[in-house]
Formats: sequence, C-alpha cells, structure tokens
Amino acid sequence: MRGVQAALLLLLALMAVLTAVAWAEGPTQSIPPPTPVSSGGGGGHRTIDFDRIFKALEDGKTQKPQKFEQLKKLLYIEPFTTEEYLSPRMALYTTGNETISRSEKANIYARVENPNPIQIRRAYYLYLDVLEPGATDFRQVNSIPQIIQINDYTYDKSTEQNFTVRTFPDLTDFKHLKEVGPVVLRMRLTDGLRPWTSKNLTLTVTNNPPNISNLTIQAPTPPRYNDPIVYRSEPADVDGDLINLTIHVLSGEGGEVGNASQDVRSGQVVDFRANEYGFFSKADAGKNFSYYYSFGDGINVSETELQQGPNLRRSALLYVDNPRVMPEDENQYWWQNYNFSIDMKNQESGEAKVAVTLLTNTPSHPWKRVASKEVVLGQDRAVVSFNVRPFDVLDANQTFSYRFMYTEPDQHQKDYTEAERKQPIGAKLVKYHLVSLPMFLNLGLLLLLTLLAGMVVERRFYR
Amino acid sequence: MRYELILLAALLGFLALCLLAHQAYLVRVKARLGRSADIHFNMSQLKDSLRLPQGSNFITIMLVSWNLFFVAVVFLYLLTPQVFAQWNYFRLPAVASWELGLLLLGVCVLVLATLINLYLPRIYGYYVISRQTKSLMSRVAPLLLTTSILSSSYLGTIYPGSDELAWRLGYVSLAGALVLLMLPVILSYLGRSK
Repeated sequence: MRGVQAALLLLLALMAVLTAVAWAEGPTQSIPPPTPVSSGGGGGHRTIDFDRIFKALEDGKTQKPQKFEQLKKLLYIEPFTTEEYLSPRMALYTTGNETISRSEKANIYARVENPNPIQIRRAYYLYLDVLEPGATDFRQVNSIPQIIQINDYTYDKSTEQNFTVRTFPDLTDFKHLKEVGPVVLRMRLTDGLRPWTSKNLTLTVTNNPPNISNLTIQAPTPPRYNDPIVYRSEPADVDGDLINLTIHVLSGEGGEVGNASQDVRSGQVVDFRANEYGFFSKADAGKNFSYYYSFGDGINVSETELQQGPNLRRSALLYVDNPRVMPEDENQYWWQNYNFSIDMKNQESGEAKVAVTLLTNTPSHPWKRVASKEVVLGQDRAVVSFNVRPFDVLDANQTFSYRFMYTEPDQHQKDYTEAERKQPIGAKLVKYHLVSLPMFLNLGLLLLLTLLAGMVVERRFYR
Repeated sequence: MRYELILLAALLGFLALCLLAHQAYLVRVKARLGRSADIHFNMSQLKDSLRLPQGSNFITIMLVSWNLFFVAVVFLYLLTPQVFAQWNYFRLPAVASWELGLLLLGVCVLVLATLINLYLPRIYGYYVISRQTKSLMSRVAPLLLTTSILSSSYLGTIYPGSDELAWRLGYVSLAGALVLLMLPVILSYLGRSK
C-alpha cells in the first residue's frame, strides 16, 4: 500500500518538475509549450500536456539515458519503513508537593512525546502502577487503560515534539491507604508490539491523626450510680476517616472497670451511656471515677488525658410507707389546710439526706408541686409531713390524689409514692358565711364606695 | 330556657320601655310646644329649658341607687354558676379565693356603673317629682337594693347549695327597686293616660 502511495507521489512530483522545466526552457525545448486546443475543454488541454510530458520522458529515456538517471535520482523519495520506529519519550510528574496528606488532592500527570511522523504512529495504551507502603509489588491503578490515538498529540514548537498530557481519574487522593509512607508511581505504555516503562515518581504520603474535643459528662450533680450518666465527646478527623473511639472508665485506684467502643464519623457528637454499658453498680455508690478516651483512624491511635468524674453519690435505700392526708375537718373545703404525711426511714447504716417533694393532682390542677423539704433520715422510722393549703376554688367538689417524691430510691426502687383520696373536696365555693367579718368587710366597704362614687359623680357632673 | 333568664329579660325589657317612654315624653312636649307657640327649637334647647333642679341629696341618693342596682344585677346573676355556668365569679379562682374577692367584683361593676350614671339619672331633671315620691324613692330603693345584694351574697356563700326563697327575694327586691327608680317616668306616663 505504502509502495503504491510512494509511486503516485513520485509521478506527481515528476510531472510538476517537468512542467516547470518546460516553461523555463521556452521554445528551445523539445517539448513544445502548451497551446490551446479548439476542439476540447480544460480536461482536453491537460490530457494533451500529460501526453507530451509522457512522450518527452519516453524519448529522454531512450535518447539521453544518463540525464534520465540523474532525474530519477533527483526526484527519488525514500520509502517509510517500520524498522526505524522511534520509542516514545514519557514522564510522570506532579504539580503539587511531593509530600502530601492522604486527603489532599494528588495532581499526577503523564506526558508522552511521540517522535514518529503521523504516517507511522501507532496507538498507545497507557497504564498507571502504584507501589503502596507495605506492598511488595506494583498494582495497576486504572483497570481500563487510557488510549492515546495517533492524532492525539500537540506540536510543541520550542522542543519540536508532538506530545500529549494525561491525568488519571482513578487516582485522585490516597485516602484509601491504611499505611502511610513513600508511594511509588510508574507509567507503562505499549503499542501492542513493544512495552515501555517510565521512571518512577515517588510521593511521600502522610496522615492527619484524629483529634477529640468537648469532653463532658452529662449527669445530675452529683449522680447516683443508676442515674443516666452520659460521656459525651466530639471526635474529628481532617481526612474524614471513620474513627474508632473507645472510652475507658477507671476506678479511683486506677484500674479499668469497663470500656466500650464505637465507630463514628468525623464531627459527630458521640455519647456513651453508662447504664447501657453497665459501668456502675450499686456497689459503686459513693466512689469516685475517672476516664479517658483512646481513638484512632486505622493509622494513628491516640489517647486523651485522664479526666475526672463521675463522683457517685452515696445511695441510701429508703423504706417508705403509709402515705396519708388529714384535712382540717371532715368537710375538707378547698380553703382549708391539709396535713400530708408519710413514714420514712433509711435502711442502710448512717444518715441519709433526702429531699421530699409533695405534689397534688386534681382535674383542674394536674400534678401541682405544692411543697418540698429536705430531711435527714436514720434507721428509725420518721414521719415526714406537710401541713399545706394546696387547693383553690376550682378544685372544689373534685377528688384528688397526691404524690411524695424523694431523691433516693425506696424499697421498690422507685423515687415516689402515690395515694388517692376518694372523698371529694368540699363543694362549697365561698369560704365565709353571710354573717362574718369578711362578709361584713366586703359588703360594708362596697356600700361605702358606692356612696362615695355617687357623691363624686353628683358634685362633678350634676351641678 | 331557665326562668331566671326570662326574668332577667323582663327586667331589662322594663328598663328599656321606661327609657322609651321618657324619650316619647320629650317628643310629645316638643310637639305640643311647637303647636302652641310659633317658635322653632331643637331637642337640645328643649332639654335645657325643661331641666328642673331636684336637689343634690336626691340626685346623690339616686346615683348611689343606680350603682347599687347594677351591682345587685351582677351579684344575682354572675356570682354563682347557677345561671351562667361559664361566666361567673368563680371562674376567677384567684379573686374568688381571696378574702376580699366580693369587694373586688363589686368595685369592677361600680366602675362600669359610674360611666352609665353620667347619663341615666339625668332623666329626673325633666319631671316634676313630688316630695312624697322623692321620699319614697330615696328611702326605699337603696333598702331594696341592699336587700337584693345581701340575698345574692347569701346564695354565694351557700353555693353549690341553693335557696329558692333567697333568690326570689333578691329578684323581687331588684325589680321593686327598678320600679321605684323609674317612678317619675311611670307616673308621667300614667298621668298622660288619665
């Protein structure tokens, strides 16, 4: 195929040269100049010229063989051969630092120069290999090779080279690395006949270790062993890695009493609930604890400093019994005092300071907090009582229940006792009689004010 | 409908009728004067010329009586939930629970009644009221109204118990007092009828 192309090119070149020579020599030439022909168009004119050229060459071949040979040498163009196919030149390079963190963008480029003319170029298949820290062999990064077609090159005038630059979408960062260190990259190129390999590009990949902040304990102050105690923290990782967070709860002596782990995302608020992991038991009441976190992203593992807390409150176990209420009289009107009382004692040795709160409940005022007091309980039974006036006029003629709440658990592990009074509150709404001092004051003052109002209006507006 | 409401409507209807009769009286006088003398005047000028001084004591007692009248109406109908279950004194538990709650309720009514009293008792100035009538009005009306207020207060103190006699006494006292307060208008109307 190439031979035919070459022959055609040779023929065309020969024609061009001979035409030029014929024009230059003028009428002295043996080949006469082209003359218009009356019997044809443009095509006929060319055919005549070509015939003359062809005849002149045939004549020259026989009559002047030496000059004909010189002409042949002059016009000879050597045929292209694949035997002298030149190897491409290639290089891997990065536009950024050669030391990058795992989450940084890796700007890796491949430059390929093809010194061969387009007529003989072949398509190249481009592979990127990586040797990661801890690995023994290179692995191919791009599962599908990039293809450089023969016309994919740009001509660089300064270097007089045809080149192309490629990036690798399969490798944008090194987040996936489980070890950090030097990462060696290389490029392989093949045209199907021969392979070529670039020089290695070595990048140093580093890791951003995770950190942790806002360490707090969410709990009542001071908490009981069975209160909802929550260890809260906010771990973060610049590389966005999943963080393995472990809490270590230590006793006052420094021994680890428990630990728990969670895999969490960066920036997430993490809670460890002591009740859920069973860090504390009744035996821990009154003891002080400390804790620390260990956390890692799979590459770096760190620990926080030792944090103090929680300091658990001594837990008293109460015995409560006989909640009762005694109204001022059997009518139990809303304006009367009621004596609410309950028997309480501490079942453990020593004294316990307990806050007791009384609440009453009517349809008009559901669970109204009435009074609260702090009592010191020993092992002897004590009566805790509240002499209060808990109701108002809206509670009249309604039944009520009441609740004693206390800050330590009772024998049923509850922190309250409830009871109900079946007899409704007296239905009477006004608490005084017609003949009474309050009524006298009410009506007397009202009549007096009425009289004053009449006098003022008469003096001001009726005179 | 509860009969207490019908009685209330009757009470207010009577008051409205009396006020209409008063207005008709003024119109009638204006028409008569207009016919007898060829003078042009308006109602305001007529009122100015008709107004008679009734004595400050009488007016003061009438003002007090009107104040008591409105207090007595509120006490009779709004003190207990018996008539208006949703609109009554006991819906304000803070006031009702207070020792001087009744006084506070009365003062609130008094403020409103004073505004009405700037106009209503002026009707007495357009009638010739005899001394006996004045004496009857100023002595009996406040007494009846006080009786009504006491009856209502008693009903409040025994609620949810009730006493039909006390309620009727309260209402009759109230109605009687209203008749006395409107006596000049009624007498004028009756006199014209004769």
